[in-house]
Amino acid sequence: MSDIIVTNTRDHLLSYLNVRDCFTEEMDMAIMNGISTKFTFIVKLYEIRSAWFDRKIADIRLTHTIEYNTLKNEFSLLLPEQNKTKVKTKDFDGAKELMADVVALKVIRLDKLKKGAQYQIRMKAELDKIELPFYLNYVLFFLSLWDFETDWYSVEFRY
Amino acid sequence: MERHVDTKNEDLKRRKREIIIICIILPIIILLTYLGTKVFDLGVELPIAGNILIFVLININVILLLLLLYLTMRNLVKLVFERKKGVMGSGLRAKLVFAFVILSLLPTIIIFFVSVQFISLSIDYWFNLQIEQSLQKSLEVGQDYYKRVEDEALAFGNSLSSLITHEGYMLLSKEDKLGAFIEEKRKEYNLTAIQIFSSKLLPRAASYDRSVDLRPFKDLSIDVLRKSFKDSTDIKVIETSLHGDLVRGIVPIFSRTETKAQVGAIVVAKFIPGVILNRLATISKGLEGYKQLKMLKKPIKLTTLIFLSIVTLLVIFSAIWFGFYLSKGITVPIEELAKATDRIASGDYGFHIDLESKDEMGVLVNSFNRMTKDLKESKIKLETVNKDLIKSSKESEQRRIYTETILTNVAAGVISADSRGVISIINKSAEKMLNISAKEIIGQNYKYILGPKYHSIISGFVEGKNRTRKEFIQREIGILIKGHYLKLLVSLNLLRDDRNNYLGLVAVFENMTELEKAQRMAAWREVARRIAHEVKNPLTPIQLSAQRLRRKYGELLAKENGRVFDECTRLIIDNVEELRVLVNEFSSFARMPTSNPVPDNIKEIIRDAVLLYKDVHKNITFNFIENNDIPKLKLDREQIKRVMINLLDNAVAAIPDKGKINIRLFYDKALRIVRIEVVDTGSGISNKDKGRLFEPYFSTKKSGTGLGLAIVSTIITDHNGFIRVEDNKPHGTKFIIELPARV
Repeated sequence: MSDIIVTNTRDHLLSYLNVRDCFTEEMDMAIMNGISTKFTFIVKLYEIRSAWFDRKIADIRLTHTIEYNTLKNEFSLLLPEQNKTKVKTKDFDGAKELMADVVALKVIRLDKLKKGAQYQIRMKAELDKIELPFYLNYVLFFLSLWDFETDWYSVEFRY
Repeated sequence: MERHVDTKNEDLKRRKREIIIICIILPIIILLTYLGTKVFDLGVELPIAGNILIFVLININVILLLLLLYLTMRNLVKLVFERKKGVMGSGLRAKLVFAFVILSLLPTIIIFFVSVQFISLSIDYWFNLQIEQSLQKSLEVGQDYYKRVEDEALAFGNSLSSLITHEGYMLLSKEDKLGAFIEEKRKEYNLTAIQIFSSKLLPRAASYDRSVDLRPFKDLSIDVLRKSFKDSTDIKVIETSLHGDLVRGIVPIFSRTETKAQVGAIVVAKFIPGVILNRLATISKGLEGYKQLKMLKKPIKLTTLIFLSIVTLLVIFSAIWFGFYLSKGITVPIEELAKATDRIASGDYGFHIDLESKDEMGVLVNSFNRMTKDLKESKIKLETVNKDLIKSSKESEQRRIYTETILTNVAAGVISADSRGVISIINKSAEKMLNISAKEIIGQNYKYILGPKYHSIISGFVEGKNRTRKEFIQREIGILIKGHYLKLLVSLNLLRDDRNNYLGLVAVFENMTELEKAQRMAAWREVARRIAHEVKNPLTPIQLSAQRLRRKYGELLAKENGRVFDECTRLIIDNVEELRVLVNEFSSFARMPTSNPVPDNIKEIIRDAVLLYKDVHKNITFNFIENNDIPKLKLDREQIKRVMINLLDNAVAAIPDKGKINIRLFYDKALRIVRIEVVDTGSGISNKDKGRLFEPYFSTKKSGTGLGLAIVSTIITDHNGFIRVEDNKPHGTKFIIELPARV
């Protein structure tokens, strides 16, 4: 995970992040074969308290979905933090970049944060189970094809 | 019974164990199902109930497989240990299990490999290159169709753009002709819509195919148009709706007068109906599905292999388990039977096999149980009979002992013989009386033992019984046993059973010798007393009368016949005197005083008696041989001295010329008897005379009164002793006196 940026607008705390080299050859092939693939980004915000356990004040699960239309030879991506409609592109590399980037994710409203308090934002990306055709879930009961998840990354800041 | 209780307890324990296992397994299944549904998200299409059902089934399968594996391995290990220990039935069980494993293993392995090969081939066949190619080509056809529609839209756009530029339809003056032109061309090219936009992006003219519903499609985005004007290039836009796609080609319209000056844009739209799209989508999905499957070719193979392996293992374990189950069905009853046989062999007839089975083993076990029950009942009966027998045997033994005791202690001798004449019983008295050994005689036939005289008596009796029906005879017989004369009263009885069958005979002997002797003695004493009394009285007057006659007429008759008278009277007087001596002897015999025994030294008595004779009879050698350890005996000194004198008198009288008289005195410590032997080398006594030797008035001497030995016998009897006579070897007589040494 790289390019982790925590910033703010007038109203919201925003975070940016990018996952590098997360697409393996098998995953590329799976996507090209029309398998819908999802990346889930987990962003958790904690208020750090010295005398007690840290308090979780935000827990966001953001899912990026990519799907390839073989007929039209185009990729459609669902990136909920950017646009509610699907983004369509014929450029696979571009599509992968879009999948791996989280841009301006609204973590929390600023009025929910205390001035001068210490906060920690923790982030993690994981590949959801690829949605196989139904019956293959039983056939491949014992198999775990594409387990992928990053470690937790954290950034501390004082508001 | 004990066994039954044990089995019940075992059943209860097993049920408890099963309940515990179920209690453990159920939560495990629920937990695994929960975890499964959480961990393996099967997709949103599947209802939760379906997910749970599938995971329950999978978990149950896995747990059952593990349970089967555990049970099988446990049983196998147990079997190996039992076989090593040599537990009964383990050999047969091992053989059966081995047979089942082999029988199941061979086909299973063959089927496994065939299946693996078959599935592998099938999968390879599914992913055949030709199929993929045809699918790919189909998809390419679809893609080409799309491309063609796009290209057509752009081509028509370009063609129409050129015509519009050439004709100058974009000029305001020809605006009315533009509408008709595009309407005409739309129909000519079979387009769905044609729109003309001005350089200010305002619509100038439009023509629509009314047969196509374009309402689901939005109007062309201003951004796209702007881009077209900006770049002056052709742009393709595809819009999708539920019932079809709309392919738009945007082409710039240039000025007729100015080079590269864009005066507008033409949008040519072509509608692709949903039916065609669905077909194309089906082709596309088919290829996608195919490629996805191909991607999973190896995992599918692997998974199939795993499943086949599991099924194979399941079959093998099931076979082993079934082998165990079957062998248990055979070996357990056999084991139980063996145990039961062992227990019954060791005498436990109460053993019962608790085994419920409806097959042949069940029949066998039931028969065995019935047999043991019968055996037990028979044993109880036998024991009862045996007890009765023991009781009756004891009684009979007691009776036998009692009878034997009676036979042993009875004074009469008893001898019995069976129907064949074989002697079976001889009691002690008979042994002693007849001086025989029962051991030697018992088992022998009396016909070969008895002399011809007695044999004929018995034979006559036994044979005669049938004629005369006489069951009993009694005879007095006199026999000589080792020089002793015995008078026996023999009673011979025939023995018969309840059915009057002849069983043998029994002879009872009573020794009448002493009784007869005593009776004779008593009779003789009476005779002697009477003779003494009757004869003695007239003797004195006869003697006195003879003496008077001699005194008165002796002188008168001295001259004539004086000698005769004198001789006669003297003869009368002398004979009367002799008669008086005789009567006195009779009298003393009849009135023999009662002995008065006091402890005395017998040696002295004998020595004194021997001394009397030693000096008088020089021609006879007297030897008195004595032992030093002779105890004192209770004796009447005078009477014993008389005994010795009488015996020595007889001995001296028996020796005609020269001879020897040995007097031996010794003590038999074992029998506690003092024995006196008076042995002479005289003429001896005939066997015939020996029997009557101690009777009164029996004498072999011419001058003897015949009372000497009778007196001796009486005295010895009075001293509780015994006297007998034997021959002395080579000649002579031996008198033996035995006196009890009870002081």
